[in-house]
Amino acid sequence: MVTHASQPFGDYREFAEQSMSAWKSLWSQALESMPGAQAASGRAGTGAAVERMLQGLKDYCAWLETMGAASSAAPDGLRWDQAFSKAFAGNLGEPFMRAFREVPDAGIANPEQWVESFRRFAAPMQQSLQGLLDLPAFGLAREHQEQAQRLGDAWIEYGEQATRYQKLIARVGRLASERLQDKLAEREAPGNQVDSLRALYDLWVDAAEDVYAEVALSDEFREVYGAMVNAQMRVRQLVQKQIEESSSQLGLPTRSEIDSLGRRVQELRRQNGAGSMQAMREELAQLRAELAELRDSQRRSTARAAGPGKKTVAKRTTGKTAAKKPAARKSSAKPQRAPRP
Amino acid sequence: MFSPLRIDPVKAMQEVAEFRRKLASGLGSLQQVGDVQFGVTPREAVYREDKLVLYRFKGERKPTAKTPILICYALVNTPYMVDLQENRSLVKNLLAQGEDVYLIDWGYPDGADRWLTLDDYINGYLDRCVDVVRKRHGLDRINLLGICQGGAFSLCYSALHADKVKNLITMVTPVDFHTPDNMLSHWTRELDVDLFVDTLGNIPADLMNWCYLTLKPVRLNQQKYVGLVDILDNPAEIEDFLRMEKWIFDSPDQAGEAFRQFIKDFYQGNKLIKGEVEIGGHVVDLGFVDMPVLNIYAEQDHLVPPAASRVLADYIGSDDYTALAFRGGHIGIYVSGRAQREVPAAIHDWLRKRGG
Repeated sequence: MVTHASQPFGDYREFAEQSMSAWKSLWSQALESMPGAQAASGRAGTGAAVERMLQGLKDYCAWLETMGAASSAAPDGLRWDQAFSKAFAGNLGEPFMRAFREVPDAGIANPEQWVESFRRFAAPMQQSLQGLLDLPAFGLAREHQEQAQRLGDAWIEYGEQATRYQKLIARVGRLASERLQDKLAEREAPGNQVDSLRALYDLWVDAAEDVYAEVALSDEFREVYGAMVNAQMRVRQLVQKQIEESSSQLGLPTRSEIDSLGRRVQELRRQNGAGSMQAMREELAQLRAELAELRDSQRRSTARAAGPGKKTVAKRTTGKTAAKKPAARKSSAKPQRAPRP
Repeated sequence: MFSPLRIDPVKAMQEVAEFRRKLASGLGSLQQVGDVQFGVTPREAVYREDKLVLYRFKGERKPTAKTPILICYALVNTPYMVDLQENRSLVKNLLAQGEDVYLIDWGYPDGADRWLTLDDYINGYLDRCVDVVRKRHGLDRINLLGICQGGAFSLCYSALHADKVKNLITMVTPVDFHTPDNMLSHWTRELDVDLFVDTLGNIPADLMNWCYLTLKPVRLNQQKYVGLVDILDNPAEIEDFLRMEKWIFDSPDQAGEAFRQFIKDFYQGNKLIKGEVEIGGHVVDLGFVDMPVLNIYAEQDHLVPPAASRVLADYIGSDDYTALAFRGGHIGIYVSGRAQREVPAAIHDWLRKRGG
């Protein structure tokens, strides 16, 4: 057994057992805290639509109240920018960010919520976790411990990438505020001014979406978004692996096993599937029809040769008689021709 | 100097109070709305395979067109945007013009469909549906109408099976996936699609919908519902809104392997216009799309930018190509009032001139 001079525990076996217990405890608590697999029923119904509506309106209502109060604070309109900035500084960026973070009614199907719940649970333990992650694995449980360490690393990576993404979104919120002020500055002429809270809100949405589109089409966003999604998937994949191992130990079928079976079934279906089976049935029916016609034709020939009154036993065909070659099946292959330049 | 804000404080508080009143009374109206349904035109299932159902629609009169139309919709939504409600139905309006209309409902994939590939969809399901329609009408070739991703499928199909397609119509169909304004495509470029599909298996519909919402996050998550409050006192408008909501969010999961290839080859690789897409071992060469083509695109489409569609003219082999620009968005091209008047008539007139 390898020993480390800086090893904090006297007996490494005891350390390994304690660390495995800590990981197991971490997983079971994380699993309990994850959003349950909510039924999809009602997802597309009126109830779900009302929920989405209320979710979207929560921030608008708060914004309305704030802006209503701000407009009262600057009755002469000449200090609109001060009252305005104060109202938006406290309120504007957050609803925009919330539009990203909250996915109504997504349940466990939304990986962001799924991993976020785990992240929130484990965040206080990050420092002590990092220490565990850096230790080498030993003994019978080394594979399991390594997997757990990989998951810990992946979770930390995801946290970093998610933070980058959210910082980018926060920047969009700030830029939207500035863009709105630019748009307002263009509307100072009488008759062109904003005369209702709703008009102000719509103008803010225009500004926010304009800025968002510029940022979302940038190379920076593309890189950050891709990094976040990839990091999220790594975490999810490693968690799924842990769940599979536990399921396997309990004698339950796993997703990987079902996927393997499904893959084999689909390959078999391609070889012998609906299309080819149907074609075989049609060819068989055609062959039967031709055979029946041949037999009829032979009986008629035999009857004619015997002439009227003569009784002749029709010779039974042996089946070895050369059958008429079936008409060639219409080829489904595309005729070859040179592609157009 | 004038202030851009001319908000009377008293009116502002009245506005807040009025909004609250509408919301409070409107919630009661919402509770009165029953289940909303889409897919209003009578139809008959004429073929089933796995989760797929091929429907033939029944108009008020017998069709007069010589060649039926088969609609191939995208996999990412149910196809009933083309038959959303009585006064917003491309199908109903085509039937009224005398067309004979079939539609593929791909169904809702589950774990059993995890390994379906683009070959299974295009050379399998779609080809067999085309054969069913051909056989029912005793025709060698039929008219094919592809919508969005279904349009991309239809282009691939027409290139591989040109002998079965008489006329091809594509609607809001992406062809060049790397135009600078294509936000969805932009976001896929750094994705590890293999990791994504290997992890998720089938791609959940909720995740797809969340992605679409983040294309216009404030408009689609918030402003839309602010607008809803204004119509809460109108039962008919509420029902229309809720029907659209249902269609938007009642989406199928995406079969993993088909999704993998579509994102890698079309979105990331932009292989369709490069002639590098392979479906079932056969290369898709758009030069073999030599039948008449009508390409309809929407000028304010944020999902399939017009530039992504317009380029089709540069890649197909057909000498008979018509482009039709529609003033509207990706969904408006089916459901707006103008769409009901313009689009079915344009399709019918174009087909009639080409032997219907």
